[in-house]
Amino acid sequence: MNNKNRNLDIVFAAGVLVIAWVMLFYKASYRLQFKEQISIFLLGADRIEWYLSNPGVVASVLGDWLTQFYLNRLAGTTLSVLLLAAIMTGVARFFRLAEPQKPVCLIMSVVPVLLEGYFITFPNYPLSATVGLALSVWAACLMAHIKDSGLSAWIIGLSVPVVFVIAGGHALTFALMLAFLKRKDGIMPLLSIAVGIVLMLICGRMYNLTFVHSLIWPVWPGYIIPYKALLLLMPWIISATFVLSLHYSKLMDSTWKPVVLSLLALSGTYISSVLSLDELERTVKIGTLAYQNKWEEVREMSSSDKPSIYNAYYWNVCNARKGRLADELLNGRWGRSSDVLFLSTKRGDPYFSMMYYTDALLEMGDVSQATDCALLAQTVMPGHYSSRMLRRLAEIAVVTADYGVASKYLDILLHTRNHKAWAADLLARIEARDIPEQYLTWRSRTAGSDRFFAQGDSRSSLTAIADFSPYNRVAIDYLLCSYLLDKNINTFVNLYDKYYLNSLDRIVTVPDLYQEALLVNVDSRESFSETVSKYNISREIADKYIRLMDARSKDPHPEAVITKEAMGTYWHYIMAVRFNN
Amino acid sequence: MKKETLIIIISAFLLSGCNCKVTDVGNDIFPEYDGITVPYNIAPLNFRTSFRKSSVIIQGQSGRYEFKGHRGLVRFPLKKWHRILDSEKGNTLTVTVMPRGKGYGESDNRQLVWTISADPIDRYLSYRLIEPAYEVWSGIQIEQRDMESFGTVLLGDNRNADNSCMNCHTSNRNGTSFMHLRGAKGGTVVNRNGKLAKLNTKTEQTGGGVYGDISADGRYAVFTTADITFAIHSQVDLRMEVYDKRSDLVVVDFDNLTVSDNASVSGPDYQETFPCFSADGRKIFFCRAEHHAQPDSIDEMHYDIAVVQFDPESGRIGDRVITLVPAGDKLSFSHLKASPDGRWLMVTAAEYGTFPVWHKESELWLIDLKDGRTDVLPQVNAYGADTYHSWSSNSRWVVFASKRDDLVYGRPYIAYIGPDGTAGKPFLLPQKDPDKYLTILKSFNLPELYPVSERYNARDVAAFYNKVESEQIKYVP
Repeated sequence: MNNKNRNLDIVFAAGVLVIAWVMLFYKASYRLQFKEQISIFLLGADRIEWYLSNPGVVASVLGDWLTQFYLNRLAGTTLSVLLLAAIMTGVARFFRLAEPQKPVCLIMSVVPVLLEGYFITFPNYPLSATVGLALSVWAACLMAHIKDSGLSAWIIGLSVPVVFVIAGGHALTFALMLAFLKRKDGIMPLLSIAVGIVLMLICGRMYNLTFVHSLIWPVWPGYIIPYKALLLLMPWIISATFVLSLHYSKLMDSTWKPVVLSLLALSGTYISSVLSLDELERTVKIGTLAYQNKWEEVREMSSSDKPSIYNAYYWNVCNARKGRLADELLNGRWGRSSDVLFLSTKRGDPYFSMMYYTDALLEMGDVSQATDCALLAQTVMPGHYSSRMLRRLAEIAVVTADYGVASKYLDILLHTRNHKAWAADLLARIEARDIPEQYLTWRSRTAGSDRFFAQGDSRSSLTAIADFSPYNRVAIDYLLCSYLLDKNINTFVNLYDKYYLNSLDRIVTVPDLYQEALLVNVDSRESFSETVSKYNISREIADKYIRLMDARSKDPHPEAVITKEAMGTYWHYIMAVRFNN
Repeated sequence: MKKETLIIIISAFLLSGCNCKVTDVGNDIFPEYDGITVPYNIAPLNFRTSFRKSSVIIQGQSGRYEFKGHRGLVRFPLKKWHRILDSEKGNTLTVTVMPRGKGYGESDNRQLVWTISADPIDRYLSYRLIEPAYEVWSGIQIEQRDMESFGTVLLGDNRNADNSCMNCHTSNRNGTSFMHLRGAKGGTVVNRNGKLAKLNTKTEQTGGGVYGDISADGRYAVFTTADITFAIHSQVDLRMEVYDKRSDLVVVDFDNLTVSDNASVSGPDYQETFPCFSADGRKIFFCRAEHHAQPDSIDEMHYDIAVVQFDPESGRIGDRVITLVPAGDKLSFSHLKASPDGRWLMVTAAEYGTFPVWHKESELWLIDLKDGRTDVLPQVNAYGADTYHSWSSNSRWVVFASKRDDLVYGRPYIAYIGPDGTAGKPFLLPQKDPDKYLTILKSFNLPELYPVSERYNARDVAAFYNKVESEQIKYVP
């Protein structure tokens, strides 16, 4: 390769990294940041034992340690790109060492980097996996370095399980790179590599991992990336890269050049499109903003962004925090209560739901379910150790005045880089019994009487809370709104009579939504007057309803009239909005 | 120069992400090891102190031993520790912890008293490591711990079994044990002196086995067959309630692979659970309550302690059930465990229901089967749920799971029970690094003592789960 091509190569590779940085920062930085929320770095006895009892010990420790810095999106993006750069230069260097006669081709080493760049954007793909790949690639470089001094077959064979212990499942990549390195040295080295792979799998069994799990460790199977085979792509992609690199000059000087470049461009475009994974990014972004208490941004995002379950849910959480759940209910996304008010936390549901649902549950005062969700989220997420859920569990314990329990979680957080200040502050406040106002508010809303309910049965739980604290407006509004969204007017009216009439309606302004809903079942002029009088419905709403009913009875297209005259009211919602089953 | 700069930068970067501060335990020692009776064969009672550097002097009748504590941690060398305890059997040790360094005086010293019992504890302890989440299982491991050292062996790991639930590792302390594997390919894995079998204990007439006990000769197991479910309490401090919609008892004959029941311990009128054999294998103790609709009437479920005859020759359960200890309307018993010497029955007492692990008031009671005397064991119990006890084969030790430390996570505590039933102050299972208890987010669930190591491990169990078909048990009327 001449200097011109080499410079072109370097410029191309640098360009890819710059583009990767820009793409990651603008399209995936919240996903990267989320990695910090679902992991923790501790060097306590239990964690060290855990690291040592699994393969990839160096990659895991280093990966978890680096993940702490992902709390900052800029740092997370930069670290990700640096790791990708380490992989890219490692691959290129290995090829240069393995094939000194062939031209260096950074362009080809971009391919595995693009793939890893795709994986890294999944929150559940641990950084230790990327670190493991970098370690494996550079371990292969080391082997290539000492190639000339002669490596006995058994050293080659043993190096594979050793790399497995150090770097995890990417030892297979290392093994295939070794095979490429030794392909011309006869059958013995290749046999020893094959034996090394077998040893690695046996080693995985010693760690109590299945064969497939050994090959993908430290990735946990079954999370977001459901296809284990996809993760096994990397060793083969790297191998293919080397094979293609061998024919690089030929390819670039022949009619194949356009094909190669097109393939590269296509794969780049594909990865870029995957990188954009907008829905996932939005999902973690809105949850992260809530975690950071940036509620104005949450509200803005939930109102202006593309509709999703989490946007609709957070729209209502934001409004509930201001006591305006009912007022703003129909200004958000419409849907059944199970889609826009409550989040599902059944087995098999994403752990995002369990994590995020604690925000609404604490606002309602449903601490029992909040505890359940926080523990569940911790349990079902990969690694089972989330700094965010530890914080939540500590907060819940403070709300319930279980200060011993809170101290357990806060003591753990005291040993983390990112959360020690928060934990120390809360511990000090617990010590001084100076409990933050927010927690006292949540505490005041909890149920003091006992009732059983099935997991996820939010209505039963809310009823228990409302019965115990009839001035817990957030819980009562959630309960009433859930029936309104499900168009169950009779239950709504019963509950309104129980919780609002001559009770809450004396201390708060009754939302228009409720007044509108109370008129829906009225079927005569007499009962209309009675209803207006009983519930003290505003003259304006009553008149509007009469006008709407008159227009509707006269028009041959009643739905058009409702849409025209009653848009934004509960009457429009109950009469014109239809849901798909 | 460049290299040095790089090293400095990297070091600074690494340090910025690591908080190596030693856990502050105040002036106390963790775990609380003062005034305890320990078996002479127990692993070193390593502990943490608030003194960064300390000297520890153990004064016994046969000598004086000195150790050093570093970074707040006092760890005893294994061989020396066992030499000391071997030579001090039956004696009392005075342990003085003295801070080293400037600014400390004699008043800062801490003193602990340890009584070394000549009665050994069974060498092995199994427990299930599980997150205290309500019903989802993920990352469950069943571990066997060597009580004389800190060695552990994994007996079960659900990563290798479709993440299915694994539970109830139960041993008869005589070479027979079982554990249940749930999930599509699940079954009850029975180990008889190292030979494994996977059984399907469910038949058309009887449900699958849940809680159980094995007879001393290893031939029979008595199980609860229950339809278990749970509900959440709205009152925050009560958390959750696990309950049986229905429950009966069955006996499985491992020799003939049969299961049998009896109308005396099955049927809709009563719910029976937590059975255990008497030491001679001729009786089955169990808990029984009149059926009430649940969960609404769960607080009316008060389980008595009952007993029924069992014929070890024919494997038949007797027809007549006798209530041994009525629960009344303020109590409910569970987790019955008869001591191997036949003298004692240890039970868990809670206010109601059948799942005391979430009842903070749960405590252990000791019933003398000779005269019916009941000891409520004030020196053993603490607020926070003491449950899941297990006897050592010499009947001198019990291990149990207690949530006394943080009310959420169960930890294994060990208590001495004298020949006359006098109990000692319980102590936390020692760990190589006691900080393990501070950072682990899993409960040590269902601790079980036994003297001989299991001869299988998690890989064998995984192979059984994945590759071996369950043998079907036959119902014998």
